[in-house]
Amino acid sequence: MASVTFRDVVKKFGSFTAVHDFNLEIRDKEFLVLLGPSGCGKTTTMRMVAGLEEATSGDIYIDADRINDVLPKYRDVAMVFQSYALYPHLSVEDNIGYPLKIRKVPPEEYKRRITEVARRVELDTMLKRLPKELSGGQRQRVALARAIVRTPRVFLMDEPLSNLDAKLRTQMRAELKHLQHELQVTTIYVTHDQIEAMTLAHRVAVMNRGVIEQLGTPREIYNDPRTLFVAGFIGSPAMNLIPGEVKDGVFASAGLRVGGAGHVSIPRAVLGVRPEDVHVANAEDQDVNLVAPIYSVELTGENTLVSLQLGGRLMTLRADKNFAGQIDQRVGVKIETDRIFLFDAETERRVDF
Amino acid sequence: MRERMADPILTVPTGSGTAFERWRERHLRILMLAPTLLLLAGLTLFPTVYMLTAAVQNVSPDPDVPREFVGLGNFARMLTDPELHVAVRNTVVFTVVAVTLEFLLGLGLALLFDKYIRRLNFLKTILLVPMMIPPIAVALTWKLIYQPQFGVLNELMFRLGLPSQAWAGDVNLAMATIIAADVWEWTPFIFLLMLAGLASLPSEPYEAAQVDGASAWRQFWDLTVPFLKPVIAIALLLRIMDALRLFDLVFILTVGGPAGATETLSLYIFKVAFTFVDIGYAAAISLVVLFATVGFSTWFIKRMRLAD
Repeated sequence: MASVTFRDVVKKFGSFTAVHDFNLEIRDKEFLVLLGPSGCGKTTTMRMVAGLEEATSGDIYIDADRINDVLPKYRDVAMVFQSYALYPHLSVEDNIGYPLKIRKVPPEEYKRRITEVARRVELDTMLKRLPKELSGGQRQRVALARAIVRTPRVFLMDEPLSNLDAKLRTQMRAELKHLQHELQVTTIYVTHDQIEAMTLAHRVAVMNRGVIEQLGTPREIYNDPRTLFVAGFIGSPAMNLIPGEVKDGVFASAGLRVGGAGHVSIPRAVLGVRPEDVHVANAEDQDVNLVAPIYSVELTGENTLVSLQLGGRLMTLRADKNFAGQIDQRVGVKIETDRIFLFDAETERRVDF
Repeated sequence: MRERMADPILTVPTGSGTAFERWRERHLRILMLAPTLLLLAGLTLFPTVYMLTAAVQNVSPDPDVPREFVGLGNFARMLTDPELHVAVRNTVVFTVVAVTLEFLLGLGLALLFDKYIRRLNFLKTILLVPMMIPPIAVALTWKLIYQPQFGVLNELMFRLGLPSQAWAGDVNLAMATIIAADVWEWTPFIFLLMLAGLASLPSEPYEAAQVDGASAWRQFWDLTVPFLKPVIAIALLLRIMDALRLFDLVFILTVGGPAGATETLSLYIFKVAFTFVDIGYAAAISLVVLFATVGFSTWFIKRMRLAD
């Protein structure tokens, strides 16, 4: 088993810097998720561990071994690609067995391992098929089986679930989590899907423009976002981010006033509040933070998402599933003031109070 | 509800079209193909029928002498014709050696270009030039190169202090000179096909193979060769069929000599038909060659599973 360490790693493609001064230590047996929007450098970071990209500067270690100049075949990592990257001309069995064939594993052992892995990912009845005869989910499982057929030091997974339909994705997510727990192999997992990150990770590194915005457990990232970017990226529906001004602990924006922020003052501020911390109230109540017309009402089943028109933007709140409001109806809104975040719009960093 | 307005610019014509319009729409394809079909029928159908009938007849050069039906006599003659057997052997030797060399050189160059010199497009163009020169010009160029008295090759030998050779005029070297010229002319063709094949390969399986631990050599055998198989098969098939029909290079460089060392099937058929004016026998040989080529191609295509 192994830890992976990045020390001051930089990756440039020509004049474009994909990864800036990247420092991260991934612990032994940890499930670490690199989360970020497309183009944030997360896949590049992972590919440097695989040896498919070379770091422009800095050092990458697996345990104590510096691997920058080690050929991919000597790194002992296994990777699941977003496109699965199966060998199209080989059967399921030969695809799964390819890493073993390369390592000249004796026939009995080869057979035994493939049978075992195939059973685990439920492919044991289709070992003779070609990839083109499989569904997307089955192909994904072949790619996974090819990675787990040997016990590498590190698993690398590049958006392995992104090509699956929603239902299958949820199911495979649970299976991946269970598998990683069972195999106890250090795993680096790249995704742009914050729900995948939240559900799978021991720790999440939220990346943006080639740097880590925040590193922490899913709970820390969700409850304690340190930057405007992390606040906006994590959570579905996204956190409401409303620009305004804070004077002596009171946030004010067009039609909205929220107090309770100690005595801070921020001339250009952004108020952040999650949809579940905003509640519908009677418009006539004295202590409402806001009265606004309803823009849309969406029933998701377990709740109702209500969007309100606030200046030129929308504010979303999570209401009870039995909420019955009409579009254009004016409703009052109460915000849980102990659950708000304030950000400085200049630095895009959180301001504590 | 708002009323849908008709788009004032994009109006759809009404009605169902005249009877002529409908007839034209249905038969236009046939009308346009007709001239080509007639021409093709004239140019291939007539000679084919002529060959089929001549193959079982004794055809005299004198048009006044009536043709004589000889059954399978012309075919029986082929079994005991030593010159024909030499021609078959020469053709097979030429095809195997030339196509093998062309394939290895073409694939090697393509791999080199695909991996290391992608940007040097002008070099690629230069490499393709031999294929674009008319075959007769290629043959004449090589004839001058091989020319014993003032050819470039003997000049080169002289400067290197080596004895000059008769080249195309030497029984032992003649076939090699033909093969060399053919390799020079047709390697670019294989190169071009392989380069196109390599450019279309997916990159992900190679990355997967690297991570799975495969060396560059393993990647070549486990991925590149299987991926290129359809292109390789097509390239070989076209080259083999072409090599089996070799005529121009031999006709210009050696005329089959010396002592029949470079006589190929096509050249022999030509000689039988137009020097010995034995049309019936020439037709019979042609027919056998035709069936052999078609048979080989069919087997090869099946073997390579090109059909799927």
